[in-house]
Amino acid sequence: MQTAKILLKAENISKSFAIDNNHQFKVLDDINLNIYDKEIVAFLGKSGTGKSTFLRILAGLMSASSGSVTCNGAKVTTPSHAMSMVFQNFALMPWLSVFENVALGLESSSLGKPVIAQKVQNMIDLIGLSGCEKMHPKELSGGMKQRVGFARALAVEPDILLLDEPFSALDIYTAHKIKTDLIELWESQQIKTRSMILVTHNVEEAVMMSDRVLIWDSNPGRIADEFIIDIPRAERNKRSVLDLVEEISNHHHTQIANAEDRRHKQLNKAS
Amino acid sequence: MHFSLANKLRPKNHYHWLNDLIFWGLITVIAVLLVKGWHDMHGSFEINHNESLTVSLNPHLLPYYSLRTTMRLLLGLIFSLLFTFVFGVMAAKYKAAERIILPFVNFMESVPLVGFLTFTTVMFIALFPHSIMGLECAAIFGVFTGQAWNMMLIFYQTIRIVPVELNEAADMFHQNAWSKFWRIECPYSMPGLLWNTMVSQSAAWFAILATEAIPVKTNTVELPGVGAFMAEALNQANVSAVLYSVLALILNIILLDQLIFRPLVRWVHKFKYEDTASSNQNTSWFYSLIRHSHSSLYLSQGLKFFAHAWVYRLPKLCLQLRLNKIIKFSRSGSFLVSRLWYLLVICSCCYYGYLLWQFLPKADLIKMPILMSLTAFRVFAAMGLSILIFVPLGVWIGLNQKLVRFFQPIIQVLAALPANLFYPLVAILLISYHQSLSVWSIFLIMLGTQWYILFNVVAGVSTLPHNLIEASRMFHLRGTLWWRKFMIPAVFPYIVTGIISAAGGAWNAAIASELITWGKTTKAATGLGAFISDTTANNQLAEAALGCTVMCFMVALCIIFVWKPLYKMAETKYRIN
Repeated sequence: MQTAKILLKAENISKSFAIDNNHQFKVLDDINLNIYDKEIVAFLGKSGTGKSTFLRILAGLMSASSGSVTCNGAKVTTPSHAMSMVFQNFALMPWLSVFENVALGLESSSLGKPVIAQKVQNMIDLIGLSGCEKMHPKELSGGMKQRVGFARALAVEPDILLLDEPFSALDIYTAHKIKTDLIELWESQQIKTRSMILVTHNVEEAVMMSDRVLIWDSNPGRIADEFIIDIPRAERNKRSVLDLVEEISNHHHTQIANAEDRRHKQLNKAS
Repeated sequence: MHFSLANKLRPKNHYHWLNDLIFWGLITVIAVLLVKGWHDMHGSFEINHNESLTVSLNPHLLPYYSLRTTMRLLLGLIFSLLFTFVFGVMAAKYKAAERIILPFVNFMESVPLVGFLTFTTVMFIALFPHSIMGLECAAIFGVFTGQAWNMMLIFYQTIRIVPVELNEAADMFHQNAWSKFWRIECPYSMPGLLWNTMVSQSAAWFAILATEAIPVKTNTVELPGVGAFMAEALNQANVSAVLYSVLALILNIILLDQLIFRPLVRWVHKFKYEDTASSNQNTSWFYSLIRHSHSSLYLSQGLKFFAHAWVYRLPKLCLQLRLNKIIKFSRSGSFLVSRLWYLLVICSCCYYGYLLWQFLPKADLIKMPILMSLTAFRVFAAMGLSILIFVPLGVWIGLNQKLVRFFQPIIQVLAALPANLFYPLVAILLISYHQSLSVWSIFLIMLGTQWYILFNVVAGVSTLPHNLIEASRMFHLRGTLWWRKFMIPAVFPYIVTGIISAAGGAWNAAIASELITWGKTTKAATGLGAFISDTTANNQLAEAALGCTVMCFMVALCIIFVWKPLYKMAETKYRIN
């Protein structure tokens, strides 16, 4: 595993936001991370730990206060063509049809119209949206909307797919179906994506999908622990991952309790 | 646990006696001024004796004139609020009332008031024959028409979109319709109502500038006020007086903004339903001054007591008086009542329509289409130009939070300045450089419409869902692709809202800007506005009535065939939720 090629490298990433003129709030503190070829990494943590912020810095949507991100050897400062993203609340353009939404990322490329149309149609068929091309996002269910989100992100054939809690706005059955479909497409290499990063606060989802689970801690946000999931994907089911899910959950809960404790102590000191 | 923490974190010296002193000082000064203004509004005035009333161009009198103008503005605001509450609630609760009120208000919102001045003045003078109050009322009515329709519409709309879960929660806790209104519907609609009131201020100022110098019969009567001062300065071609009046007006607008609207915006913040933490940037020195005074404690306690009595005691009293029986009775016959009501409305429309037709001179009818199309062309050209210039500007500002914070207060003040404030300045330029008014009046109309478009676009862009912006960047949308697939559709509803709220003002401006006087020189552009101004000045009532009717007809056409379809498109295809 560790000898595999590094696709994405984040070095000493810190990020602070200004609260007012003389107060800074540190969201991320000195984070280092490598994403290797052919792996899925899950960021697990409660909200406010900065994992979504970190994902945006990796994507080039946000700049870090210090540190650098390199993707395929090139520095990431603006959104990279090697990466694509699926958003929590879909982020589909409501005024565009399903087809146009999926085509969005390809239209800014130098490809000709027929090539784009072909690629979009292929992706729509692959993701299971056939027949919905002319519909608008408003007419779709949440699950179908997120399928459009996936199709749009995958249509540009990114090396790395960034998933920002893509399943948290869906019910568990719909989410389960999309997850299985995605993993299947990925394992059978029907999509060109090499690696994925999944932001989530669902332990089971993280364990079921990923090769590595990174546990985030807050105040300031950082990666506190790493769990390697060494159960082969084909053998993963509710029962086989149960122990691991339990272990991670317990670990995570103690850590959250500790963080709460620290916060109260800080508040008491402040007053 | 949490309470003790909050108490500890609260800074000491929270309240200060100095704040009380300033607060009560200001209140006393304002009260004295208002009483003085109120008293002077009741002076005697005999319209039949051909008594003329003119203002003097002495700049020392300007503060007093500002007070009189402000009085009219405040009274107009109070009446607008009354109208908003009564008719907004009626339209929202009773279908039969809604069917009449809504089209009427929609229509009135776009009808240019300046065309009607002669007729409203005659009506109000008949109401108060021996007092100046008749003329005051005409000006107050002008303020009312500038804002009431807009305010009522937003109140009606927000009452109807109160989130279902809030209503369900209220039902679970057995709130009756009265307490539900005061505890849910009213607070919920407050931010929107306040915002729309502020937006309508420019229309109110526009109206007051136009109504303070009113043609009555053959001579012009000037009410003591800034607007009349400006009109008189134009008549006498006095540049320094024009500049003084502009300055006084701007100061007046800023003062009202600081003492009334800023504190209210800050206060209304707590009624916002969406919890957006970042939007807590509205600050007001006056609000924090009141908050940090001892008096605020007692005042808020008194208010709470009053509110409790109003919301919970009053309905009990009504129950004891068996007033609910009347409501029940009226509801039981609602079918019959509503049919009768529709019949009444239709009959009176036919009757008055016939009377009006009898009154209109048919000879002038033939030249109306040309005048109509000229004026309409100017309005549309002004709107098109405003969109072309101010949408890109608004997008540029709206995408950058720092720019929004910097520009928003400036745009708000600029938008509050009525367009006719600039007419004198433009008139001076046009007449001294001998330019044609037919072209330049387009820019005069733009002066009113552009701010609506600008701040609606800024507001729209700055409230765009962040993930859509991120998606547009993630998928490398650039250049025309970015405008075509992302930004134009995204701001489309806001452009439409801007245009529609600017429409009333634009027609007003079109009417007012087609005839400009500077001393002895008069410049006119061919159009409906010039026709109306001409005929009213010459006391040709029948011709003026024809002009107004045609104008109403044109505005109605515009609503039905342009604004409504645009609005529908914005509401369905381009809505983001």
